[in-house]
Formats: sequence, structure tokens, C-alpha cells
Amino acid sequence: MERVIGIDLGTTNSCVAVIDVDGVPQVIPNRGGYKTTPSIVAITEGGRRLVGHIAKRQSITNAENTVYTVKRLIGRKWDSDPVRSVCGTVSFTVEEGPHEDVRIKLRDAYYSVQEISAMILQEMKLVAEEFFPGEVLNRAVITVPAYFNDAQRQATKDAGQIAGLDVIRIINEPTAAALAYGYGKSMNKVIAVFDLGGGTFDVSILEISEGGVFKVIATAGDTFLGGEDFDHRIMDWLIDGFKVEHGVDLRADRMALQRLRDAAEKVKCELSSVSEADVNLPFIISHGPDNTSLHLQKPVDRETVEKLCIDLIERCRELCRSTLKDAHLTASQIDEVVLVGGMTRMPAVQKACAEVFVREPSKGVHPDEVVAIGAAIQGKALLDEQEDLILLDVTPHALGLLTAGNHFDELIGQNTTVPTSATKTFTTSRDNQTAVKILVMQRESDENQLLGEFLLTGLRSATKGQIEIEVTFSIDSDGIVSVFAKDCETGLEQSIQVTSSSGLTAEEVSQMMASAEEYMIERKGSDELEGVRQNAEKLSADIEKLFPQVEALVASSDFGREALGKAREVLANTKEAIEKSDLALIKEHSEALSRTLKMFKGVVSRPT
Amino acid sequence: MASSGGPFKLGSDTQTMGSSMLSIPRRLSVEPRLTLTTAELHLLDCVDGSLGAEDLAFICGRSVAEVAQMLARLVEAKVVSFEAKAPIPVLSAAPKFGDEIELALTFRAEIDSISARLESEDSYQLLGVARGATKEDIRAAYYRLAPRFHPDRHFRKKLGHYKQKIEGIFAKLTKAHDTLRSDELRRLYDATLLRSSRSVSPAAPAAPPIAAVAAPSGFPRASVRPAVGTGTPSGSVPPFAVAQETEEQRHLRRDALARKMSRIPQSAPGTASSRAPAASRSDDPPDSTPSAPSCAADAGAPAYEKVKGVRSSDAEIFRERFEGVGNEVRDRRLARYLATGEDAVNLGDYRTAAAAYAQALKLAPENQEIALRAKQMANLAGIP
Repeated sequence: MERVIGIDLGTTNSCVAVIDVDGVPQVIPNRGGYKTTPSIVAITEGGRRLVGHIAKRQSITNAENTVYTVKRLIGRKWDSDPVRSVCGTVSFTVEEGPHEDVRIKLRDAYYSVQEISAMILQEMKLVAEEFFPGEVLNRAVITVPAYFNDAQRQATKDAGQIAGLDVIRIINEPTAAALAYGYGKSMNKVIAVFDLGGGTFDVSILEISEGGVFKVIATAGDTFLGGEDFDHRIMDWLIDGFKVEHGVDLRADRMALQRLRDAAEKVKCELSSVSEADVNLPFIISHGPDNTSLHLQKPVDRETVEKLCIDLIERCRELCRSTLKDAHLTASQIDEVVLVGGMTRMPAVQKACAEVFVREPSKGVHPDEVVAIGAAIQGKALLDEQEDLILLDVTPHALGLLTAGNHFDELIGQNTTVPTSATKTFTTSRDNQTAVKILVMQRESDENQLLGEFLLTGLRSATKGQIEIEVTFSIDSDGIVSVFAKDCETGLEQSIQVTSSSGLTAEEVSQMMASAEEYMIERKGSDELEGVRQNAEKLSADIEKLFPQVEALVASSDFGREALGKAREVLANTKEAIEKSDLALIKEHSEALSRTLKMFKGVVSRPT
Repeated sequence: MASSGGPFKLGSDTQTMGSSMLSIPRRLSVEPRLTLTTAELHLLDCVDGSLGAEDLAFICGRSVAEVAQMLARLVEAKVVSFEAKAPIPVLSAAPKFGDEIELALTFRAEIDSISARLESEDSYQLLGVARGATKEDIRAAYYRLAPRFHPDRHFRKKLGHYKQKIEGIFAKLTKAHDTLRSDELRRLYDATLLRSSRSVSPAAPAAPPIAAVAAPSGFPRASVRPAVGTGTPSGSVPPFAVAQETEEQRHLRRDALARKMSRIPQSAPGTASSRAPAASRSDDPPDSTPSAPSCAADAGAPAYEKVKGVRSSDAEIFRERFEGVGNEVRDRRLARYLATGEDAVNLGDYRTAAAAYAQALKLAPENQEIALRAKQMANLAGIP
């Protein structure tokens, strides 16, 4: 069976996993040996694209062209509060795109959020492909926060498509974590997953049944509550303190801001294991007429940070309580609590979670890797007919239609197991009304989002309330919403399949796909060059090492001197080819080099 | 596509193949004309056009004579044939089983039987538990049954109309489980069961009014445009007026943004127009309705007249279907007819709609949906 990769596309870090042939989940490390890769993309001055750790390392010196936290922007409208809030805090430039979407400016080029996400996905694909040389890994399951809406899911799918992936399913992060937790074990348990990641918070309650059935009972979350919000609180506190002390606002300096962001994240992480740490940022800004350098030096203790973030933690607690209520369960009926996401390392978060669920959380899973593993498990379960595991997930948002007076009439409730369908009968609201407009809505928190709309025309002219229209909503297992309206009198029907728009046209997506593919080819080409170059350099070094020995043995004869001359020539030519980065030429000289090395070795090992 | 080989080449291939396959049973792509036993359905599942009677006997654990007898029944039911393939194969890459649905026939029979009693059975019967069942009984029954009917079990398989049936069964089972495992819902449900066993029709609640658009004839098409504003859409006309900016201004601004953000250099307008989204957008009339597929417009001649003008004979359709690019042409024409039909329905012109759907049905006679629609339109237009 073809391997399916599971990708956890996170706000701050991403992770990729596969299920081995023998059924063992495996998280794939990147070139640097790390199992997670920062979700950061940068374009260098030379136009080179950097993704992951190398992008993070240069983020201070190249702050304007380094993008992070794109997950907070994906599938969102330009004119929305989250986008405005991100715009105010990031060091890169965000602008309005042609379809009310968000575009990111990097070195004079504009990129859609999906494209940036695709670059990260491409990197994860490469990480996996390097780990399994010779294999092309196209099939993927990608995870999203459970509370993502339709547009955000579609945008994530588009990002996968741009990256050249066949996204067989989008699944929810807490659900994926539950799959990883219960995979391969036979149990009857009710578990709660508490997932506080870099950008989002989700809490899900699931029932796991023997035979590998995972049924989500209830889920809730906040797509704008995560580690970054904790960082911002610390940052703001540092900036405000600095302003009081020196009268200088660090917000104006992008480089200072980037350093502060890193420092805030670092000190937050440190405070998970120690109770006091220092923020030390020398030469943070130059100030005044004589450009005096100012330094930021401040001790931070755990208590201060907890106080700064008290409302964020309270929000998590509140969502946990409401999820329990939605599930019609009490805390004592939960058998196990699973912690997911890096932020759950914070003692105050653990404490809050333990308080709500009245039990110590399980430490059995790795909070950073479990989601990717779950995605890989779901991929295998879908494609492998031998696999019994099945996931029964729910729709996180209620679906309905808008009736007269802008009233949201719910057809499919929040936390309904999919696939599902529901039918309701409606009637006309005016006399002689011959058409009705069906406005398909998704309710997110207290806001209604329009998913699609259509008209049912040709109704008989009658007084209001006489005509009956039957409306059926259905969601299939891929999460695709179909709506079907029928005039009960004439039998006239009209239906749509809601294809949520992610903010890009099909044409744009295919255009972006093409350029992503180009990059991939280029990148693979440069990978090849790198390999050939390293090989040639190694051969050269080996030859040079043997040179004095060989010289001593053969220099006495004319023939030997000629051979040494040729060897020197080859070494020089190779060096030149490497400097020119000429792949074909290096390859050509490599052959001569290995021949030379063989000869040298032969010479050295001559019997005396 | 089918055009590459041409009909003659395909025909001759089949002939040579056919002679060697005379004694091998082959599956036909029709529903059985007789009611088959489970054993016969299983045998039918195994018939793949390569196994002979002896192989099948081995698989089924029966004697060759028995299998031959069963095969005879299958031939009688018109689902198996021992004859060579029909002279015009549709495509060389036909599915292995000669059947577009990738589900075992035994499972299909089970799905059909459950679907048939889905409406009449109560939640207890569906889950196969007694009225007094404990929560644990209900849990166990649900987790045993429901996963079998989850579409993920048949991921990326062609399920045809069985997809809906499976999803219907799954949804019903889930509803039954969710109801019976909640004390409160179960009490209410039990009460309704009791009531419905006494009186047949409970009073139906009044239907709530739908968001209305008062639309006389010639419905203004502009209002069908998908909402682009972020405000809550309302039913009144014009529904999506944005205060400061007119529709046109917004389009101009969007186009400008699209041009700005396209990575194609501005100096080459020729290439830019082919890649920049702005170009295609500006071609789009701002009031194109989403309910009518755009193929009606870009096919050249106005689709509306096309239907009135064209009275394509069966011979023409036949030629299109079997010659060269038949399929492609047919699909395009089908889409055009359907779009015209849809447009006509929106305009209230049922005669045109009926004509359009009748044409569409000729192109796709096996499509139940189109057949239904054509019949409805004919009724509405008063055509017998």
C-alpha cells in the first residue's frame, strides 16, 4: 500500500508522520534531526526561499521578509477582526487581495496565504521524501483546529493542492490526537483532549470503543487563542515597562520587535520548568541625538506571566466546561484527559485543565507529535481495507438557513455526527411570492457565515404561508454540504453543493500549483548539485591528503611527474567547476577524481 | 480518449479475445432480473471474466455441477453471460467487474433491505435491541453496527446511489443511538412511540416562513450573485448593497489589486492576461447567475435559441455518441441543455425547459434525475 503522510500544519511548528509497514507510527525528523519544523517562510535578498529552522534563524536580520503565524490568516476575510489584529503585530507586510482575501508581500512579490502554507507543506513533504529515498509521497491527511470553519478548511485543502499533495482528508487536531492515543489499544473509554497550540485552542470529548471506533461527542474551541497570545502578553508587558523606563516605544522598530517576540517565547518556555528567568536583549535600540544604545534586561517570574495571561487560561477553562455541558457529561465521567500542544507544558494551563476535569492529565502522548501521528493513522485507516479503525467526527458549527427577519433557523446542530442530513418544511412570508431564496448559513460563535445560496422559483401565487417548501441539508463524510429545496406542491426542485470558497479562483490555484512545482524541480535540482558538490569535495580532500605520500613514491620518474601534474589539473578544474556551480562539469570531473583517487590508493598501498 | 483507436481497431481486438473467453462466465452490468439467493450473489461477486467454472467451484466450495447450475440461474437472471463481448465496447479501460459500483452484492442486498425498512422501524428495532435495553446494550449495538455503514469503510470506491443509502442508514443509526443513550431524549422518544401507536398522525408544527424575495416574473438576476459583502445578507432587494462603494467601483479596485499582485511583469500585457485572474474576472459579467453553469454562455451561440432551433435527430445523436469525440461533445451538449433548462425554469418558461430536458434525456437516457426533471417540466408545460 502506498504510504500516506500525516501533516500537522501548526501555527508555530509543523510535524510530519507516517505509519510503518508493521503498523508503528513514526514521526519523521527533518535534516537537522528535529521532529518539528517551524512554520516560518522567508525570502532572502538573493530571492532564495527558506522554510523552517533556517528561516527562523535569519528572522531577526530579515524581519520584513520572514512570514510566520499564517495559520491565523488562512481562509479569513481581509475585513475581519483577526486579520486586523495580526496586521498590527507582525513584522511582514499584509495587504488586501483581489477577492477580499489576504496577501503577503515578500520582496516585491505578493503571495496568498495558501501559497505560504503550501511552502510549509512542501517542506514537510520533502522531509518525508528524504527519509524514504526514492519514494514519492503525494497522499496526505492534513489536520486543522476542530473549530475551523468551512472556508478555513477549504483554504487548507487548497494549500495542499498547491503543494502538489493529494489531500485525502482534512481532520481535526484533537480528534487526531485521540486516534494516536487510542491506536492499537482495545478500550472502552471516554476521553477529553485539551489542545492548546501556538494559535488555537480546541477541546474535544470522545468515546473510544473496542474494535477501534472513535466517536466524537462534543467539540468546541477558539481559533484565536494560543501560545502566540501568551507571547504577546509578555511582549506588551516588556514593551510597556521599557517605555516607562526609557521613554522609547519599541513597537516602531521591526527588528527590535522580532527580537522581543523570540525572547518572550523563550522566557515563556523557560518558565515552564523554572520559576524565574531573565530577558536579556542588549542593544535593543539606538536612541537620542547621539544614538545611545539601550539594553533591555528584566527578570520575569512565573507568577507575573500567569497574572498577565489569567484571562486566556480562564477562557480555556470556560470552553472545557461548555464542552462537557454539550456532551451531557460531568467531569467524573471522563476516564482520561490527553494534553496536546506545546502550551500545555505551562504549569498554570495544566492546573486549569486538571481542575476542570478533576483529574491529573495523562502524560502518555507527546504533545508536539501526537497530532501528526493521528493524521497518519487516519490516512492508513482510510486506504487500508484491513484496518478496522473508524472515526466518527462531528460538525463543529451549526448549519441552517436564514428566514424572514434575518432569523437563523438551524437544521443541523453543532456536534452532530457526520454524515448526516436533516429536513425541515418552510413556507412563504409574503403574499403572491413566487420565489424563495435559500441562504445556507454556518453559525460560528454568534456570527452567521454565508456558505451559499440559490433560488427556488416558479411557486404558485398564493397568500403567505400557503406554499410549503421542503429543505434538506446534508453533510457527507468528506464534510461537503449539499442543500436541496423542493416545492411540495409542484415537485419543483433546486439544489446546490456548497463549495466553499477559500478566497482563490480555480485559475489562481492552478497557477500557484505550477509555480510551486517549478520550485520543487529547482529545489530537487539544487539538492542534486549539493550532493554532487559534496561528493567532489570529499574526493578532492582525500586525494590531497594522499598527495604527499604519492609524490614521495612516484616523483622520481617522468611518468610519475606527468601523472601528478594531471592530478593537480583535475583538482584545479573541479575547484573551478564547484565555484561556478556547474552541475554537468562537476559530474564530469568527479569521474576523473574517483579514477585518480583509485590510482593514488593503489600507489600508496604498494608492497614495499 | 476513445477517439485515438477508432471503432474498427477495438472491434477486431474483441473478436480475437472473445474466442478464447467463450467458456468463461462474464459479468453483465445490469441489475438481476430474478431474486437471487445469498449463495448466488456470492458467486456473482466472484465472476470476474477470468475464472472458469472449476475455479469458481473451488472458491464457493461446491461441485462443478452445482456451480454450473447456479451459473445457469445467473444467466437466466441476465447478470452473467458466456458469450463473447458485445461488438462495440465503450472504452478499453472499462471497470474490472463490468459494474460501476464497487460493493459486494451480498452487502448491497443488505443495504437495500435495511433501507427499505428504515422509515417503518423504530430506534430500538433499528439497533436490534429490546425496549428495555440498558445503555450498555445500546452502546454495544451501535458500535457494532454503525461503523459498517460509515462511508469511510468504502473510501474512494464507486458507490453510486449506495453512497446515499449507506449515509442514510448511518445517520439513522446514529440518531437512534444518540436518542436512546440520553435519559431525557429516551423518555421523550418512548412517549412519542406510545402516542403514535395510539393515533396515526401527530399534529404537524407550522412551517416557519423562509427569507423571501418578492419576485414577479423576470426575476432580477443581479440579486442571485453570491454575497461578497461581509455584512449579514438579507432577503430584500438589492440584498448586498455596500454603503460607500458601488459594485462597479469595487470591481475596478479588485481588478487593480489583482493586477498589482500578479507576479507577471506589467510590461507584457499579453502573457499577463492569460495568467492574471483579473483578466478572466473582467470578462465575467457581474450579474451572471451561479445557478446556470457558464457553459451556456461560452459555447458561442446563445443557448436559448439553440434549443428552439435544433431538432437533432436520433441519427445525429447516435453519430455523436459513437464517432470520435462523442463523449466530449455529448457532455458539453448535455451541460448546455441542462443550463438552458435551468435558465428557462428560472424565467418560468416551462415549455422551453421541457424541450431542453427532453433533449438532455436523449443524450443521457440512463440518468434518472434528468428523466424525472423532464417529466416534471412536461407536466408543468402541459405537454403529454
